[in-house]
Amino acid sequence: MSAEAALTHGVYEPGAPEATNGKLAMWLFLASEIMLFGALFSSYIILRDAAPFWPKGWEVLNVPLATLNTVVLITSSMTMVLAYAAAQKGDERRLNGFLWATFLLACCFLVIKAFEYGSKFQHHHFPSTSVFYAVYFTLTGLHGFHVIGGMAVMLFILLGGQKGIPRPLFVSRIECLGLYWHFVDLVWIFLFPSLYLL
Amino acid sequence: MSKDAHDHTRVYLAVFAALLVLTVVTVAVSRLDLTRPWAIGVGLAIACLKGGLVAAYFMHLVSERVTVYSIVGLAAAAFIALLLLPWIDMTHPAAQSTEPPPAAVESAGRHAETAAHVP
Amino acid sequence: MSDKEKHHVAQQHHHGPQGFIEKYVFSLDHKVIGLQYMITSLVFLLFGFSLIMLLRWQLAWPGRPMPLIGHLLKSSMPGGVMTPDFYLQLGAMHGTIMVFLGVVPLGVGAFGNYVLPLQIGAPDMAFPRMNMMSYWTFLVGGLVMLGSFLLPEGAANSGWTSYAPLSVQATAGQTLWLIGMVFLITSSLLGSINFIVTTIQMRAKGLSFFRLPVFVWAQFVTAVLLLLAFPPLEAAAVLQLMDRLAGTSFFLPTGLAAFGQPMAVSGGGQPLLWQHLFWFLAHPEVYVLVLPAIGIIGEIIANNTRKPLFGYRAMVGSMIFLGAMSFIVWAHHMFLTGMGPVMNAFFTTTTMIISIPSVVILTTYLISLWGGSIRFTTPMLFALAFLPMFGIGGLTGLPLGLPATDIHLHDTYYVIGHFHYVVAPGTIMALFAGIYYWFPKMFGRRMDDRLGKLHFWTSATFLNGVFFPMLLYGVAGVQRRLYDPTGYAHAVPVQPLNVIMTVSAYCLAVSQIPFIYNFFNSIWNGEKVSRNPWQATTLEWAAPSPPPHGNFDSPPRVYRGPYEYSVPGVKSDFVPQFSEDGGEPEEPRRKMASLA
Repeated sequence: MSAEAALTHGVYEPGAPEATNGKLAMWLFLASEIMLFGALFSSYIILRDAAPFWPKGWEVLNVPLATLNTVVLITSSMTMVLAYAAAQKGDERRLNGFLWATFLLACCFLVIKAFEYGSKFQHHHFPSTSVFYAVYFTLTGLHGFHVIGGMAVMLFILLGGQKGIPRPLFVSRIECLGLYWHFVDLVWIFLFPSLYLL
Repeated sequence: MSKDAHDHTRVYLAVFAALLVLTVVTVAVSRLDLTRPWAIGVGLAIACLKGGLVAAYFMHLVSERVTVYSIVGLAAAAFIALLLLPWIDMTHPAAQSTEPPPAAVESAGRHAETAAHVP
Repeated sequence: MSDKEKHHVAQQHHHGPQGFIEKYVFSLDHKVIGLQYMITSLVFLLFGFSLIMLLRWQLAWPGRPMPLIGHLLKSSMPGGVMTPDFYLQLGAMHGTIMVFLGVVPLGVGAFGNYVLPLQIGAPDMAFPRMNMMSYWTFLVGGLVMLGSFLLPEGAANSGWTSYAPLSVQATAGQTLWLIGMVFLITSSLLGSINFIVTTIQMRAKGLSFFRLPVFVWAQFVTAVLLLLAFPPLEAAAVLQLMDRLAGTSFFLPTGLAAFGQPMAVSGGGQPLLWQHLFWFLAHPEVYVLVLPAIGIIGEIIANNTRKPLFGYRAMVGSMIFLGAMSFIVWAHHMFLTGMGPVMNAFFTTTTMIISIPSVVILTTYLISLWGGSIRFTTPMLFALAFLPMFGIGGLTGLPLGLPATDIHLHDTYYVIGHFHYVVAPGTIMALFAGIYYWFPKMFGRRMDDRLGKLHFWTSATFLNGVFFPMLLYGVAGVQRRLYDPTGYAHAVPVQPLNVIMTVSAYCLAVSQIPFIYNFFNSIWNGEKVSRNPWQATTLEWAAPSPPPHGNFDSPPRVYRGPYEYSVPGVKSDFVPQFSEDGGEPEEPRRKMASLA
């Protein structure tokens, strides 16, 4: 059975949760992502605390640029939730508009990131240079991969990949994309102070 | 689910504004040169506040079902275990062995005779 | 949409004529995917078993050329004698393959996929495409791992535990191990999300959580463990890949030297960080290994004692408690790393506590046998044997969970004996039980019973022949992962045990031949069966054998609990969950004429 074709409400007694299959699945996936990034954060804390010396983020990293990036990502999170609200109302124009805005802001995030990385490489700072840089590049890099993943799905939807899907299912999928995107934002909200400000 | 989506837009904008303000605050506070514990504490508190707003309003956790809360709760609990226990083991003085390690030269000599297992 | 409409949609899943590739290779049907997992994991199990048979020759007769096979592997076994490096590869890959490519894909991927939707009355999994993806990522990961043997310097050789810094400096095979792990973890995540959503959302009408068979509960808890425990290993694998490929020092401490030269890395890393991240997964992983087995055993015991399982709620509660506790016991694998008394005490306490639910589960199964009308079918023989084997496995774990005794036993063969008792005479026997039990449902034919019993008695004997001496060998103080244990004086007197273990292992291998023959022969020539040849009560037996695409004739409805056997006042000795009719009442016994 293509459970996705039958919109996904399971069969069971009244009073049971009303979440769609897709939404539950996305939350479960996010739970696993909490563990993934959690392990990386945990590693960062351990490596930093056990190290005899660790530079302060301010001294080594470009804080103004990263602050701008934080604002960009938070804005994209807002445009994403507004896209979802538009989808709920059936406003296709607004949905497309906000989804494009989210996508472009994400591009912006990656461009700024590329500048940051480029400047580091120019000064011969690589992951192998020190544990600090190893942590910095790995954490932000993996986060960046997650941004790219979200962008790929957004582009797929924007270019008509979901044409012909029944409306309630489509709205549910936008919701799931939104949950993923907000999570990516959430990780950055913790990454930013941990790496750059402390 | 599309009940009062109009009201929700106001909420989203309010949360957005709060997030921007908190971003400025966290950067500003980090310039204050607080002592380490305070710097970490305040920084983490602000991050939790921002993260909480995103989770509660953008991800709609304020109005979600028990099933979703359980999923998030389980992940949070497992994460806390993963964060605290290795950290305590590897860095916290209270968890360190009370005996100083034996001097390297002596133990190398004794090694040949004992059946000590090196992990 | 009403149930009937939903089911109609399911049946009419727009296929048109399906080609062979679409129907059998890239299938979306959970049953086909389950069988793919089954065959693939059985092949990997056989391969992993072969590796250890090679290794066991070297242990029993160190330095002696191995006949026949020894001369085929020219570079790894020059003159028929294996190199120490090849020995380490065999050891590392045996563990990896058995755990990640054999037992878990069989217990979860095969049985979970095939049986779970049937047992909850669903037409398929919640996400069929994701299910298919999960199988193919598993296969790719497995092939990457196995492919590492073809590298010039061979496969990974740093143990299945891949401790840093040794693993960071190891040959290219280790990189493939890490990449393979990423694929396997992805497969596992896709699968666990599917299982959890399916169990929550797609149960048949009337099937509340406490009417679920214990098999479903076991798979559900297992899926939660996989979901939350695997990602930290994925993170660790990424970090180790960075260390190996990008020159970082996550796990490399300052001042590390290799072959007398200081390593040209930044240093500042923590080797123990790898151990924490690895064991954070690997401990819940052992419960992933055993929980599906526990679930299978429950089904078979209820069915073959013709009475309800004793302590259903205690069983479910114990499984959940076991799963939860499994997240905070992991550092009992690290008692000898210098963690200090506080950490040691913490993990000892949690480890002792976690033994309680295991004992509860075992006890409820033992009590379930009491007063039962036991049918000694082949699945039941395996299930009955599981109980004492799992008991021995669990009990031998206790000295390992207490640091005072672990100091002597850590890293000896006692550990290997302990965990093999739980997995080999334990879980693998339960998986065999499951194969014999559900084969009729899967293929519409039963396996030959006499060959099954032969398989059982020989396997049970030789499994004990391999692993019981191992416990003694370990208590004698012989360390793990030694190329030639007789190099140590204290290992020489107990060397004959190695010969016993190796000979038993070879006999164990031969004992599998009747099973392999029986399995494949019965698919085509086995005795045909009806829907419910075991006269069982759970939902999968409502479907035809084998079930068609969509599983059931019409959406099933559940009227009662899962183990209504020997219900008082009912004529038949079982009342299925899915039958509306509560069963023909027994004829009232005629009163005995008074003996006046």
